Amino acid sequence: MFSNDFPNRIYQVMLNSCVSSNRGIRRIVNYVTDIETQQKIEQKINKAVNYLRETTLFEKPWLTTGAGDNEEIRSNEEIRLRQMKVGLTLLMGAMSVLFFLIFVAYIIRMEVADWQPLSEPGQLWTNTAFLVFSSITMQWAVIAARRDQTAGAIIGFLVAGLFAWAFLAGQLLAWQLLNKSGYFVANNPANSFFYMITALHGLHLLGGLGVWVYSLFKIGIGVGVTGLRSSVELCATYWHFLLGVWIILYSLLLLT
Amino acid sequence: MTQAAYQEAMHVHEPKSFWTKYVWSQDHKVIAIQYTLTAVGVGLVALVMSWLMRIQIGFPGSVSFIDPSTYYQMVTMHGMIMVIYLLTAIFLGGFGNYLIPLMVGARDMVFPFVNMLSYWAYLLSVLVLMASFLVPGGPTGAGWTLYPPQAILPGTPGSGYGIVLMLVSLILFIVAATMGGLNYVTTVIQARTRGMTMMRMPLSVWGIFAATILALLAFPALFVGAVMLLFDRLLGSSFFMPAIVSMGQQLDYEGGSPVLFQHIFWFFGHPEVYIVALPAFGIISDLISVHSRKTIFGYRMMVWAIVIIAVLSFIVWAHHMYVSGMNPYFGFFFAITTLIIAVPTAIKVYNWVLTLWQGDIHLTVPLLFAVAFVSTFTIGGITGLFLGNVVIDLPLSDTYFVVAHFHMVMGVSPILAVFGGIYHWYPKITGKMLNDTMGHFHFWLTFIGTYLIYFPMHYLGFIGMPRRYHSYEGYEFIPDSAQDLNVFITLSALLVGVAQFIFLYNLYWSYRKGKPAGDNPWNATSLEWQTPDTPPIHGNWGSKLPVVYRWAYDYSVPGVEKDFIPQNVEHVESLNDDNPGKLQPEG
Repeated sequence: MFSNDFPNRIYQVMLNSCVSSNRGIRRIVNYVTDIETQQKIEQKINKAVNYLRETTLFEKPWLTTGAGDNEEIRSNEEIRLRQMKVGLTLLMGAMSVLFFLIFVAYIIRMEVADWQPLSEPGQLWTNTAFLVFSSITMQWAVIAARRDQTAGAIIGFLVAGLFAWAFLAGQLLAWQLLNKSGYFVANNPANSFFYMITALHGLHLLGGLGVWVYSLFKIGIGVGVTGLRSSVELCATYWHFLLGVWIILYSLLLLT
Repeated sequence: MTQAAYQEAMHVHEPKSFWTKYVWSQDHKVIAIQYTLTAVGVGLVALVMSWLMRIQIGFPGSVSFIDPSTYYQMVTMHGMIMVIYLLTAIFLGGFGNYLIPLMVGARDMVFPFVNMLSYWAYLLSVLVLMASFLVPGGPTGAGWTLYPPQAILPGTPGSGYGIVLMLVSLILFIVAATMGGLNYVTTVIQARTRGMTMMRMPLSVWGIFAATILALLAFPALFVGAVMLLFDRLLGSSFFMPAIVSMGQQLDYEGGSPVLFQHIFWFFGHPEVYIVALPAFGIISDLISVHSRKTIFGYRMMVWAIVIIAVLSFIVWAHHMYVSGMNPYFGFFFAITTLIIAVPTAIKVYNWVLTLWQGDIHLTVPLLFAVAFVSTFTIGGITGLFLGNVVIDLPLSDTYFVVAHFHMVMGVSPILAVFGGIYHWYPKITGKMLNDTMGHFHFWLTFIGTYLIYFPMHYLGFIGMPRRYHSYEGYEFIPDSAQDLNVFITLSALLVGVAQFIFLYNLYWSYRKGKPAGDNPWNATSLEWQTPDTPPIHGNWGSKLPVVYRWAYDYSVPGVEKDFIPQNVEHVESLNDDNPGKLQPEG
């Protein structure tokens, strides 16, 4: 039914469609007036096309010899940053499974008759605002670091961390408020879920803040702008991820 | 700067003192050995417990301290230790740590410090687990699946402290496995040397790579289950606990869903089977190819089979729960997906056999273990096809047939791969060959012995002998002759257990007095055999990283004098063709 080089043909089709869509994108790129942005977009497109072209998952390794010589030239810091980014992506993947399963368990457990929805304290809105500000300032620090504005980057990074601490303090306050009004962990499954979700999310944020403290220490002993940049970029990715997780979980809590 | 140049320029930090070199080491080879020794140590505990259980079944009452509670505790701890603390740890932490950087041509894992933390978290989890033997009430007796509600109810042995320590230990283990897993996957993706494309990696690396991704995605499920069960046990919440009367007392729980736990547990539990099996597949592929001096048959098919098995393993979990009751359409769905897994798995078995076919087979100890693996894995896999069908699973589920099935397929088979791997790579790790005579004794006793243990269990299952029972007196449907078979199985089990001590003694003896191995005793092509030093020193590759020019399976290439071409050799003196050292493309 299929000829021997069937996978290769599929691959060719993928490659061709990529190249042609590439032309389309280039046409759009021409409308961008800022030359710098234009170049940036083109670089990204080229990278994607080259990646597909050079990807080796379709290699027939028993036929090929040679080591290849078109390795990308990059700086030490960039290679390290790329490794860290891959590691962080994997970590976030594992965490996504964790929170996804809690989400599913929540929905399933909700169906049982003994479930009494929890009225979340208003404090959580304040906390959410803290976390959003934390993410925004972290992103601000990234932009500053990319523009080599060290002072701006450090201030943004510092403020972002402080907002995150404020969020954690706020969560503890929310727990106390609930406890005072008699919503204990074991009273009702909705309560139990609330405490567990906030605790797990908080612990993951606390881990991020550990890295934040370590990065501040590195800044304190005088690490270069590029070293700072990688810390800030990694923290920012993790911060946005945890903000996303919190928004999804908080919506779940609010809607049920 | 290229990837390779970056690694060369990396400041190779050579540790000097004993403590940083062997204890708080960040070197992947030392961490691998730490992982392996810890796993073997805790595995011995589980081995002794299997002896005691078999003695109780073969000769009931002959050991006075084995009452039903102790028996359940041993069943639980034996299963949990073997599956998680021995096999998972030794394949990912042991083989993964040792082989990945050497096989892809890296100086170390990309995050050495995290790698060290991973080992220490693992050791801590083992210590917490062992501590449960010392607390009042002893370790938990809930069965390795830890199903609520019985796992945390007062009637179950170890429901006081044992279950809490068990869950805490699992959480620590998951933290350790995640830290290690990030390292292994990132190293494979980001730290391969020049010329080492994904499709030129040895299948061992592919197997460990895929298994680690499974671990990263599956262990969070166990984490969630363990945390929620801890909440139920310690804080009195009712995630999993229904309203229940225990020993005449109405407990405070209400409305929880025990089946929810089962779903969460098996969403981890089934991929776990493949976390253990995929590295074994990879290792066996390499052993068979090296020792039968032949190109692996269907390399790309082998890689894609690993990937497909890994994907499928996430949509079959409920076949462990047929007896819990489910919508028949769900059962149908999970039976179908389960049977589909047989396809890529069978491809692998065929390819192993076809690699052996007409090979220049060297009957070394590693090859013996590899062939034995193919045999036991096929037997265990075929009984898996029985149990994958709902109607056959229902009557067999609580019998010794299941015990025989899973011990064949994920007990004996992976451990044979571990042994094969250790016999194969021991010369690289220590620079000494393992003693061959002791190796043969160990192999034949283990291989024949495991068949003597598990083959009769299939029959016991068919006549309905239930598993997990402490004693079998007074059950009319079990004929007296079953007891004779049980005595036979017990004697075989004791023998196989003793054989493992031959292996351990061999490890020690050969380290002291073994024959020097040289750099490449098996004439293998993959990179770990091409290191400038044996055993490899810190940094692995001396001043220059190796460059890879070909795949890992250039054995017996036509027209080439030697029967192997190492991956880092560029040109080979060829006798008559113009594409030196490579097969001619068809047409």
